[in-house]
Amino acid sequence: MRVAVSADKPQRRLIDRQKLFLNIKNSWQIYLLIAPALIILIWFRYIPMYGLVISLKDYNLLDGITASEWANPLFRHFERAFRTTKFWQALRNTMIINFYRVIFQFPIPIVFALMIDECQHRRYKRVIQTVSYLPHFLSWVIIAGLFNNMLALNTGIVNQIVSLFGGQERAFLSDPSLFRSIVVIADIWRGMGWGTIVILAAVTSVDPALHEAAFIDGAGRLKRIWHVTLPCIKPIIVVLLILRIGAMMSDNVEMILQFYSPTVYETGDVLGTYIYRVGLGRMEFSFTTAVGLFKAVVNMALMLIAHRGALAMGEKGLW
Amino acid sequence: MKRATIILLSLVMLLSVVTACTGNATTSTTGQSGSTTTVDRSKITINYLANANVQSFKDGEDENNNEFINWLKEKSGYNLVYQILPSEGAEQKRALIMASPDLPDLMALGRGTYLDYVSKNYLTDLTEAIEKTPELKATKCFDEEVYNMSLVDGKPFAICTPSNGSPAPDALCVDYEVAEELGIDVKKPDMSLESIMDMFARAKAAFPDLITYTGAGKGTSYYKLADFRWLYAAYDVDTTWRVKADGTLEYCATTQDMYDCLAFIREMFDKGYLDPGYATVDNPILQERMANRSAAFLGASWYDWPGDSAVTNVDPNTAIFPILGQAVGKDGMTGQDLESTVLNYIVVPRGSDVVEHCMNYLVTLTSDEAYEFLFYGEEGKQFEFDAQGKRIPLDDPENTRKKIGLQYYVYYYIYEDMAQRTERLGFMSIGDQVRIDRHQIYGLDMKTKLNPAYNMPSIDIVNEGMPDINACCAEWFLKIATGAAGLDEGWNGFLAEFKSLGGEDIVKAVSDWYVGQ
Amino acid sequence: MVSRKSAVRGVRGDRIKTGHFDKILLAVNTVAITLIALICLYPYLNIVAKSFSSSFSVIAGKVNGIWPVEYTAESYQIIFRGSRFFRSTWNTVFVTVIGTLLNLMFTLFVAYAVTRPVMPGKKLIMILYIITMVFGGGLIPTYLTVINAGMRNSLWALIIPSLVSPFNVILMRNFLNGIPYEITESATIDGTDHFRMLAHIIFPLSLPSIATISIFLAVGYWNSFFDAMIYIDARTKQTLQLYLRDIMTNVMQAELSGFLDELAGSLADDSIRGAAIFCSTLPIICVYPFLQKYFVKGVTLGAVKG
Repeated sequence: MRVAVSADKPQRRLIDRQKLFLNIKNSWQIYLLIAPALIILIWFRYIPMYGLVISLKDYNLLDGITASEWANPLFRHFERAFRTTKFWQALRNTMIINFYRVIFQFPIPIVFALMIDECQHRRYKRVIQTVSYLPHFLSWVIIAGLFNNMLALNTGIVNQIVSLFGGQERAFLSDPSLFRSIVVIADIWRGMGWGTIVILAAVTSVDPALHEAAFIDGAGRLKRIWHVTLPCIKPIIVVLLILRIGAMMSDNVEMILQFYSPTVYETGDVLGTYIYRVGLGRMEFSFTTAVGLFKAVVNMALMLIAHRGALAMGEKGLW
Repeated sequence: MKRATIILLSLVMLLSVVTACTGNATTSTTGQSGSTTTVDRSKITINYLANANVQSFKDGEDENNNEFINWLKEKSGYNLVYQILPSEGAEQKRALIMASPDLPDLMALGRGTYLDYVSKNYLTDLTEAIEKTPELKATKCFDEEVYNMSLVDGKPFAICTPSNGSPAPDALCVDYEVAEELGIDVKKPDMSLESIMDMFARAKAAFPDLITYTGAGKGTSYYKLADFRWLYAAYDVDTTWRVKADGTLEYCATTQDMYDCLAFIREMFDKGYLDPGYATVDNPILQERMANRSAAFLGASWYDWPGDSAVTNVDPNTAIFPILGQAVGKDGMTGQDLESTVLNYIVVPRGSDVVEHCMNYLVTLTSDEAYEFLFYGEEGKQFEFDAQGKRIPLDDPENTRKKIGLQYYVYYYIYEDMAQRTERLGFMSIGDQVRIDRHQIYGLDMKTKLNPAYNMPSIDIVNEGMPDINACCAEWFLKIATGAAGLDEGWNGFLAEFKSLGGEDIVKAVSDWYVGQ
Repeated sequence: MVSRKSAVRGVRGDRIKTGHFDKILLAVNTVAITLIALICLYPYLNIVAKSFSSSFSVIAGKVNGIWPVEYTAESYQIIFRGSRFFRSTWNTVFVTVIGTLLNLMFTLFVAYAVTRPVMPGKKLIMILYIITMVFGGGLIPTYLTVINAGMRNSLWALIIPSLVSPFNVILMRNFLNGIPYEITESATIDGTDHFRMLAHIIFPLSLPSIATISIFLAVGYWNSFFDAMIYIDARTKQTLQLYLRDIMTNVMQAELSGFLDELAGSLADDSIRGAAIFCSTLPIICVYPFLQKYFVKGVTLGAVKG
């Protein structure tokens, strides 16, 4: 191998490229392993992306994507979305509800996982965990029915407690100012147990030697959590946070559909429900694809910002 | 590194473009003729996309193997292949099937979808095929009123299946004990607006623990507040569109009559008669109230009734919630609007090459013989004739047998038969109600068969704007009904938003269309 | 009782006053998680109770606790009637088992690949995956691609197109990064045989994450409905969720069509929903606790220290 000479740039590149080939050669086994997965990824995820062009066309089901006419003007469907105030209202609601979810819903599985982990009795731990993810399997129809029951005027538990304490009974579900909170609470309750699975797996893989060392140094429970457990699970938390922020535009359409009614449209209508109403029975593919594309672009931007933010803070990013 | 990424991604995009182009070529042959008498029918396959329905098949049987389809195959001679859409996501599934290379030859659509598909050129023009199948013209599908519904720009793109609404009209119901106590004659009640308000007042005084009036307000999705249709009829705002003295159309939700109707409802709320949770009550909650008898008056529609005989019994002599009927407004206006006279639009997607055979099949399907077999079953097995010659269903343990025919294969419903079913369940058929509206009173003529409520034309501005208008109506009217906004405040707010959503342009567009008919 | 903890002395030799505070904290903690568990458990038991109650009592709202009112197994009769239930369950089991295994394997491979220090293109691969988390072709293009690949009406349509989810790759990657480098280094010194490394070293060490991801995958496949709905037409290939939804809509719409006289039409909505939920969650509840034992504490350090 030639010795690098400072003015000899092409030779430096030659060495780099040799290194590259060597690495590829050494990794042939890995490439083999991941080949099927990559092929499937490209075939079934990337190739269909050509369909995004539907948003620029007046998509005709029978003619197919290529033969459909280009929209005139080209961004007609995007314009239509941006024109209506209801769209912006839905967008605003989507972001606000997701914002609440990041602040309130995100930390809860972490706290809950830590609490479960502190429990000494192993079997009880398992029982608690199993029980806690049961709500995940209930469909939103049922959960909405439950909440409806609890929040009903006169007969609902919540209102009865309120009046016991001398407060004023309210029709919770038809109050726009409370709607978002109720929806977020329902989401927290449902996702709490399921979300702890990942965190708990991370918490249990923390090296017990570290815990022992901290204990010997006189750290109590809380101190141990703060100084040992949390730093160890920080990487996974950060990644989950990035993904969560990146999903700011996602909306739990099924959930909102069950809970909302026309009286709470101004705070509860999200993009998904708006599209659902507008496109009901008419299958406006071009329009829905346009809105979907818009959502995806914003999603990506947010994810990139969060990713860069994490890198700046010294953590590993998404890739 | 960056360069590699870019190159790779562009390669991928190129690959996808190539695949997409080659994978989506659709053959577009127009329906060709071929002498249908000399051709061996059993070699011709007709793919029929049937709509989802309730009944599930017996074990071992499915939609292409049961006595009904076998009978149809035998009678028509064709090789029939039925596919049934799923009940959930039927629209999406249909769209996917339309986008895929295998299109069905026949399918049934509702009017909205029908017009949509015609405007997008998805369907075959059936004029020629109908000409070649004269037997078809003798069937009920070609009654003038029915046939006219299928015309778009003067051409038929579908064969319509006639059906006259048999569902029962929405009505005001009262708890039987309340009726007794207040001395309400449930068989011939005074249904004037003043009398109704008075009934509410007395009920509230005599039964303070009951909710005076309740309904499933959560289901409101446009301007008709849920479970108040019995009231809307009295103000003649039931039909969505009304014809004015000058022959143009007006949108019911923005008329003075609508305001008066809202005023009535608001009065109910102000005086404490209306269920304060009205906007959050959905069907399950309404059924709970019915089962527990926690309301004095109800505005239930017939499908709100829980499937339990204790409550579904509507015989005025023994019912728990005897039906009082519809409100009667000024000049005697009452009675809900009849629904459309067409049930389905049977269409042939563009590109099918068995168009005429499809028409032939429909001849078989619409024959009286087929109707009898599919709708009723066999005499002695599923039904028998009574003294008047009416068919009485027999208690058939294998009830499913008849019902499958009824749900998936039968082509249309004869009014009397449907009315009979409704009657058996104890409800009055909507066609039997007394209906007096402005047209009769003021001598106005509404070209009913072109009533926009059921025959809405496919105009872009209407398609795009209507959903938001509907949401706007629902929001504001609920606000007024539940006290979230004052009557006048809410009404003015509603009109303002209606205007800002372009409502006036939409009304004008529909009115122009109507006048031009 | 003498607190055992008071016998432990800290580095500086003074008593650690952890005894009482620690115990109180533990007690509060236990009470709290018990409460939370009860809040989660109650609605589930309630809906199961409804599935065993008479329809009238369900409609009238009388089933409020965890016990059925007017016991009846009508809803379950409807579900188990005929052979469709067992066939659809079998289909779902097939998809779940095969799908989870394949998916897990490929996810492990990809995660392993991107955690190798000298692996050209690993960043690119991650980016490719993450893009698909956000961008997609849409319903129709994906549908057409799958159909053109010949998977119409095949159970494979529920497995192959969705193999390897980026989220799982990220999770797995994070776990693999947590494995101390010394362990993998000691193996690479002997020559880079990735196959052996995976089988003998990586796999045993990443059991917690494998268990986690298997649960997600298995539950996902078991509950999946949408894919099955659009790709499967034949009744014989229906999955459990499809079958249950079919029953539910049949029951709930029966009243709409006026078929009140049939058994199915007199069932309460929540009753049949509860039965459907119970049937589809029972296997999961039985299986999950067994998987939990794989959430073992710590990494086996013998390989490094020894």
